[in-house]
Amino acid sequence: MKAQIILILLTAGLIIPCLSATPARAIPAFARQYKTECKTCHTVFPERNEFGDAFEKNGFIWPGKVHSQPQVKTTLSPAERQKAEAMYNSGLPEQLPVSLLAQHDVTYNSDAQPNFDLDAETELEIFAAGNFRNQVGFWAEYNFEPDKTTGEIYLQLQQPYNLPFNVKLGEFKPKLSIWKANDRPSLSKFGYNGMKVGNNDFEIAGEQGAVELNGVLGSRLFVAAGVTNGPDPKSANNGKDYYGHISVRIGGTDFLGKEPEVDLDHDSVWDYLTLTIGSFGYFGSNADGVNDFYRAGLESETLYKRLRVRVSGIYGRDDDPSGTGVSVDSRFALAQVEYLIGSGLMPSMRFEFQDIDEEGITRRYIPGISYALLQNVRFAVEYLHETTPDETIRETTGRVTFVF
Amino acid sequence: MKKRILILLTLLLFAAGAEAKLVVIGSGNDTRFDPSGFPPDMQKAYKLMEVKCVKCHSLERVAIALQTGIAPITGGLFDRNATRAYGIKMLRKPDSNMTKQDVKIVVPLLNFMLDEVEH
Repeated sequence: MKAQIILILLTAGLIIPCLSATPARAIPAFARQYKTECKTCHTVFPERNEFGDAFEKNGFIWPGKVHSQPQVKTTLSPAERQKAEAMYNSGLPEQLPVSLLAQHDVTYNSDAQPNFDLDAETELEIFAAGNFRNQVGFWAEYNFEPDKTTGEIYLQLQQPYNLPFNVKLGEFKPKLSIWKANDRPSLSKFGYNGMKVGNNDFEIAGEQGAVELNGVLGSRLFVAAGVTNGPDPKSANNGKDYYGHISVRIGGTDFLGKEPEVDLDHDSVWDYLTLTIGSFGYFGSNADGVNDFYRAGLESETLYKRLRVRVSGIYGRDDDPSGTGVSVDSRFALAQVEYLIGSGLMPSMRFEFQDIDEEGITRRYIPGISYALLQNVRFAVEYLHETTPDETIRETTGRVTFVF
Repeated sequence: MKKRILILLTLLLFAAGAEAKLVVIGSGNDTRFDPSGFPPDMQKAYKLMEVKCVKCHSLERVAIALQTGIAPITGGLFDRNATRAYGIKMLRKPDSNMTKQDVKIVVPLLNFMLDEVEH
């Protein structure tokens, strides 16, 4: 009985703050906090636009706001002012920064049973994110279905003690690619993010316990470097993995969220053109030091008005990924084109080429289309044509996603 | 006599205030400005603002920025430098339908409205 009461109280404690939160067009934590729409940071969610990229790089602190004092409105009553000040002094966000993501997939594959599966996969995820006093960004997520596990959980100290860089620590995806793993309108993840070589569990977008230093130099150069436990932390391997990333943006909104100078009297291609180029390296060791490996990548993104083109190339080498004494080279190439129609319709086409020694070549052709009915409700359909040395997969996936 | 001077001063204060006041009508999505006291070219610019700006956000956001001098979302200063930066930001948004010509009309209007508030 007592436990039931405690459970009810805890549930009420969780729900009531959400109910009493300021109404904000049914969109998640950042939108509620800043009272702005999803489109401030996204094209068709979860894909980010240039400003969303700057916001993420800035540790979920609104670009330009650093170590600000509390903004206590003069119209507040003394009691409300006291509450606002107390919340600020405690470092607590005024609203519980929690969001939910739910999605459901249906698939069609003539080689699968059932062909037309109305119950392919359902996902429910809760995530909390924001910042404390514009000094510490945070992110925490838990996947109820289907994984039943925590995802990324980390803090990012924003230029602590006036150091020229930020410190990120926790369990997260090391900053390698210029795109976050979910930074796309298409449904399937970029193939390199989940590519494994032999028995090496390393994935580009795999979460790892890590410490990372990162920061924007000037306004158009972003660098990150970190150390991780490696993808198999449960082994007796005491060695650490290391990685580095560097990217530069030419034209467009810079990494601090500042718009470019535009001459209003003369047209220039740079009025709307943004070019981002990035490179990364990851150096690791696993299987108790038997398999030393590395991955090196070079990527670019070209954005012109509504058109976005991404190109990525990754090369890797593993000394002995499967314990057979044979070294393995791997190559991955990706090209994706997408175009925004209106404010919420985005067709895209992606080609992937994967070549891993001993395993052979895989090619993927992935056309798709996403449609945001509302800024927080998305429908998407994607076709996957994948040829591997062993088989050809043809599968169509439809997905409905909503966040709130 | 003292009383008369006091009344005159009070009237002067009110008169100055009335002239400087930017009249905001309604609230939320229905927020509008009263452009009847604007010069003709600014009245024309205001008509454009009513069409273009509300495509993505309410004029309440503009009213708050003008009246407080603080952009309501970013918390940054909303001054003459900011009006141009916002104009460019809106110009570059994919679905804003803003042209350079529109920005060249709306930015001076925002500056005019800032002046109205400041006076």
